Amino acid sequence: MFTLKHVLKTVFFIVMAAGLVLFALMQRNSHKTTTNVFSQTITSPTFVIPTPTLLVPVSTPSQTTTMDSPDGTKTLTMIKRQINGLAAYFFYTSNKSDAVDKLIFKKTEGLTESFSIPYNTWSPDNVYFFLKEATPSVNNYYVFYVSGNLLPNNAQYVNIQELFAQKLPDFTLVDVTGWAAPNLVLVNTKTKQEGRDVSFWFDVPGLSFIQLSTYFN
Amino acid sequence: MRKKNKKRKDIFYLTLRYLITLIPIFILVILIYPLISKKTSIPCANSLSCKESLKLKIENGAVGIFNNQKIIAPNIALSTSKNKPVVLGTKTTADEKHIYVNLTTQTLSAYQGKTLFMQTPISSGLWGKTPKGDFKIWVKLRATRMAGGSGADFYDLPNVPFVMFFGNNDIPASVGFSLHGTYWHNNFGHMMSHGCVNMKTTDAEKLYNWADPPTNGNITHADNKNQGTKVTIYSQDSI
Repeated sequence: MFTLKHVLKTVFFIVMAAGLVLFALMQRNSHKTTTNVFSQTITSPTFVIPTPTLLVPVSTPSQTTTMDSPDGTKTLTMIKRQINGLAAYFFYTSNKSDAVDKLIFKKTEGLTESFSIPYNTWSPDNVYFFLKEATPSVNNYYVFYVSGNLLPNNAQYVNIQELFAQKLPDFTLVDVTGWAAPNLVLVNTKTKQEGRDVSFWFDVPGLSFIQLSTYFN
Repeated sequence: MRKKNKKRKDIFYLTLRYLITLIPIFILVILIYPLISKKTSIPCANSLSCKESLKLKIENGAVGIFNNQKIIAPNIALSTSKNKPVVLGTKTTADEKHIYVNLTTQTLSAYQGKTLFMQTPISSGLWGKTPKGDFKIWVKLRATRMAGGSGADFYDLPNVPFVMFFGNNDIPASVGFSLHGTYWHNNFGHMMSHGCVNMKTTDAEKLYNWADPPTNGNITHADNKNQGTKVTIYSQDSI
């Protein structure tokens, strides 16, 4: 029969067992950081949207813009010169190690068009880069080989906007944001009918567009 | 015969006692376990490499996979010096360092006191959520391997450079959220990760060398003397 002693023994056993179980479970969380949560009122810092380094000599009509590759080994340089109301753009690539500039592309634009180097211009493996040309009607995005070699279309560059309009007339290209992988450019678009956001990959070697189920906002 | 019956009875009662004892233990475990396991139920940032990613791992010459593409991982040269000399001019004040990650603008800002050290676009979680809150860096690794996802978003990336793991009481260190360099994409300013904060490798290196604990070799753990830099992750609507 159960006596008081038995009851006490049983309660003690339960407490001990529960303690052991708790201890074992706590051990499972032992990777937890030892730092404490701090609750500090966060004052929103002032944000300046980063832009490529811009060196503008005030006394001369030329502007130089540079963008380093993500690993810092290469540089893309854009030099803009004002000539008789027109703007001549020169694009050079260089290695940090030798600092020898190689002219890749040049174009003269009117007052309504302009070139810029996007922040994500370099492909992750430094094989390609792309440029943005703003015009009153559309924005063009040109992909180049860093080496200056010809692309699979046997031209110096591929105009993503032009190719996209030809191949996918039901969509409007909105933006080219960067590189999803060494060969894949991320292209954001809208459907012409519903205005639905759709992302594509532009496969540079294949000169093809791949529709994605995820929208890369 | 009576003795035998008594012995049987004793064994029966003893078994019953143990069974009765086990029932409340089970109930206790069922009730308490969800509360304790709440923290560990947070999925790992890198679902396949989870705890493995928390260790230094250098695999020069290895090939990674991201977005179904083969990616050649950059080689990592390990630091041979234990104590990296402090570069003159980098430690100007003793003010507290603080890293802010704004998920709305996809930017990172690092301050020492009120002085802005760096500001740069980042890529936060697209396939997995980047946790919001106040954290501290608990370990810095020169490089590690990160793997996770499944199907089309499977990734396996060796030599992820300049990794700064952070955590707090709600997001355990063991789940492996970090700030790190990125060699597989260049789409900063847009969500592109599985939960970590992706940075341009050059930016990650700069932040890694600036952030506390002061870099000491290829693995640097924070401790009471050398606490990790605070990291606040927020979106505009959460302020």
